[in-house]
Amino acid sequence: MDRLSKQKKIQFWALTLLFFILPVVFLFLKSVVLNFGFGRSSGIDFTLRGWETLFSESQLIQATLVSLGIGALVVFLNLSVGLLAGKALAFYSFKGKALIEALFLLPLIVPLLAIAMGIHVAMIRIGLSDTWIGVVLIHLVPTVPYSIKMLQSGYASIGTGLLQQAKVLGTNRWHRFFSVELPLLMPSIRSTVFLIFVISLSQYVITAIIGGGNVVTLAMIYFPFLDSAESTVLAAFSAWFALLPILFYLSVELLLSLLPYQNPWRTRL
Amino acid sequence: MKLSETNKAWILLTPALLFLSLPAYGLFSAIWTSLHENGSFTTKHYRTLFQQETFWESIGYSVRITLLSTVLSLVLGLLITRAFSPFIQSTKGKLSIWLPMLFPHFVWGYIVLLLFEQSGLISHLLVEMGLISSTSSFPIITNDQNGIGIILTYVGKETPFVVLMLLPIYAKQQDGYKDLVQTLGGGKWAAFKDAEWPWVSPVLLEAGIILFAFILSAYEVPFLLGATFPEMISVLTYDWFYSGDWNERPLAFAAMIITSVLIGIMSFIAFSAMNRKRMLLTKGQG
Amino acid sequence: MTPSFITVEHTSKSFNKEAIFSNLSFTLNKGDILSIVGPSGSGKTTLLRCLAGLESFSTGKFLINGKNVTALEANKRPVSLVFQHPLLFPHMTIQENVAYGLAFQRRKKKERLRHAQELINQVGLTGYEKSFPYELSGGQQQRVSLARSLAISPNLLLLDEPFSSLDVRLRNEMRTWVRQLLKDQEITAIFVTHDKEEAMQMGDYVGVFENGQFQQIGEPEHVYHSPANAFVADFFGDHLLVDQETFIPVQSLFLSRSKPKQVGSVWEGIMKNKLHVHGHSLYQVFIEDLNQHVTVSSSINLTIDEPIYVSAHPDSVQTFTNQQQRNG
Repeated sequence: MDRLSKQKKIQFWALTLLFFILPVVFLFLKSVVLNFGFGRSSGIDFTLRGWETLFSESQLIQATLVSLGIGALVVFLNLSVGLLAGKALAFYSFKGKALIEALFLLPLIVPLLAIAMGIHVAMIRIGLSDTWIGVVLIHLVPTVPYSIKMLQSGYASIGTGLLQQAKVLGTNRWHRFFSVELPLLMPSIRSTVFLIFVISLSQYVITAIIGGGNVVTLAMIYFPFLDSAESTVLAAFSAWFALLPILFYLSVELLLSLLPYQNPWRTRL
Repeated sequence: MKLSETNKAWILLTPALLFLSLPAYGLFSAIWTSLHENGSFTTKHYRTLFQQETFWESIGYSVRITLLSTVLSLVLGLLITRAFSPFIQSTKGKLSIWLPMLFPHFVWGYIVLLLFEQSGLISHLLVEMGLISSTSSFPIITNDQNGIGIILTYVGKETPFVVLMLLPIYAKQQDGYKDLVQTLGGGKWAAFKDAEWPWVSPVLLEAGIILFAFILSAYEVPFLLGATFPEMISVLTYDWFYSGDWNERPLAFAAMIITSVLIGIMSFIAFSAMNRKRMLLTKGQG
Repeated sequence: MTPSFITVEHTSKSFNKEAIFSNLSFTLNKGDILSIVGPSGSGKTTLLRCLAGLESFSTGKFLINGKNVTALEANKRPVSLVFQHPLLFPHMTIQENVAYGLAFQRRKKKERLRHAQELINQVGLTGYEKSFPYELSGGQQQRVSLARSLAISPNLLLLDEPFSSLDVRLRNEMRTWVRQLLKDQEITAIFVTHDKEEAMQMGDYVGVFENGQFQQIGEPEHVYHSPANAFVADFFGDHLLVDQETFIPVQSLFLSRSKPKQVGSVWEGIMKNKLHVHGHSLYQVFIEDLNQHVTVSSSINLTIDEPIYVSAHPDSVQTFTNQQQRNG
């Protein structure tokens, strides 16, 4: 049995290494390696020129800030909507609940392109097309369903018992939220923040349609880069897409540590 | 006055329902646009669309690629989760298997390009090892007519997604049911069919529908890794939407509505296949 | 007559038109402990949740110290509830758990912590202040939970089968200990359980609850010896029900191999099982005519499935007390 599980462990790591880890490592290498020396006997040439070129583009810095701002707002709106709806779906039973749950999945099933094209005209009419508010709104469509789902299961795993106990002890709604719900929901909130930010960062076509080229996010300048830039710059740019969510996540984590019961030096569960 | 429990639930749901009006409006507006010209009702756009050969080729091509990518991701995701769920649950395991989720689809597409292009890493490695004579004898599997590059990208990106969806079930799964089936004399297959599949299948179905819908209509990956012909339906739609010719815009809407209908039919078939099975199961118990 | 501290008047609760309990009334004086005992599904937990404010009464009034609290939300009522499971907040220390409810009382933080410390000492967990719940045993956790509920000095403490998740030995210790604590602090409490012995041990009064009704409320001894009706007698199990009006306490029954002549009530029975309690042999006898099992002490040596006569003196036959409800 023990040998079997050890064997499985090796299999697992071989699999993840080959299909998930090595490709990413290769991308990062590619961003600092000019030439792998294929077909020649000479060694590998390292260079930081790709990253230097990337960050010397003022467009990139600008787009990074725009992406961060839009992503942060999208994440905030997602948490607000998701926490409320997740709680309702986890704790209450009411007529039509199954239907509501199915409806919340629909935005993931209807083609995003169709929705964006359909909304576009209305956005023009109310003056939201070509604005970052419009882009934030359209980014909600592929994200909110995931937030609701993740936070619903987060609430379900806390259970009603602890919240009722808190209520019986005489605390008001806000205090209960900050002292019990939020700390216990932290794992779900972390994954939500992360996933939603990544999804928002990944939107090219809907950002292009609603933003109309005026709202320049990172995705908007990535595609033009594909044709022109040299491989180290492009690899660095691609890697930047993965670094940004990590950066964002770390700053959110820093912010969250200000909440009660989040002191990292306390003994944790 | 105290609110009733049901009312409380609806109040909590209000922002989410407001949000739903966004995609709902988008969809209905798209349907409306596809059925109107100069303010009056017409099915003209659909008739024009159905006469376009590029449209039919594109639909067939898109569905083929989508089905392949979806099924491969589901099967791989299920196999990986089943075999390795204890390892995946460790922090290291989670981080490594979800690594692709860190990247936007188009960046993962670029990685596929770097690896599988004729001038890519794998081709060069094969030359170094002497397995092929030059990089030009490496088969073309990116920007190819069969959409292999697209499928590779989606499988790499969506398999972790399927694992993410399935993991909670395998983490919670009690061995009790499996042991029960086996003590009652059932074999490994019976244990899977009766003690595992009933929990797993609804999640697989949900993940499958989400993936099918997403892959069929997503733009970025086929734009990056597709061939010039045939194009996936999203690329064709986008071209029509942004072509200088305003007569083609309604075609873009009609194409997307047909795509939505296709997704609807697919979901319906999947759901009813499962419900039919459920019905048989409950009948069998009676 | 002084007004009662706790008054529950004509309350009822129904879900989807199905009545859980109806027209329920009782009163308690300050410092009284009422045990509510009944089979599972009798509605006793729902009653407790209504008293706590987690559910609302469909009709009726609930007064504490003369103040009507029926319309108040759970967090506004001077009532605290200890659940079946300890439900400690896993991310807080023992001290933070106990002090939790005090955050909303107008006291200085130092004062709150001092009060929490006092309660931790009282429940015998001095030294565990900085520990986290998972470091404590089940019994200790339930004591913290009790301390947390007592910390807010509720006018009424509700306990919903608080010992049912503990093992038998610990459960016995906790009963004695908790009752002493409640008595020392003159806490008015309602204790719900499905265990009749626990009910009698914990309560100054025992209310037997079934079918959404109190079948009988009274002092434990009274309820035990003079059941109000067949249900109560059957629930406590130590009576032989002759018919809907009369019963015989088991200690008045005796067993014999031959049919006794001088007594009025004789039944034929079959010995089904033998138990040993406190050095006595107890026989579980099935009486077919009454369709009842009855446990009788005897010194005769019986084997399983042996026919036996169960008899009682005519003057030991008692009538159920009428069903008037007692005010505590």
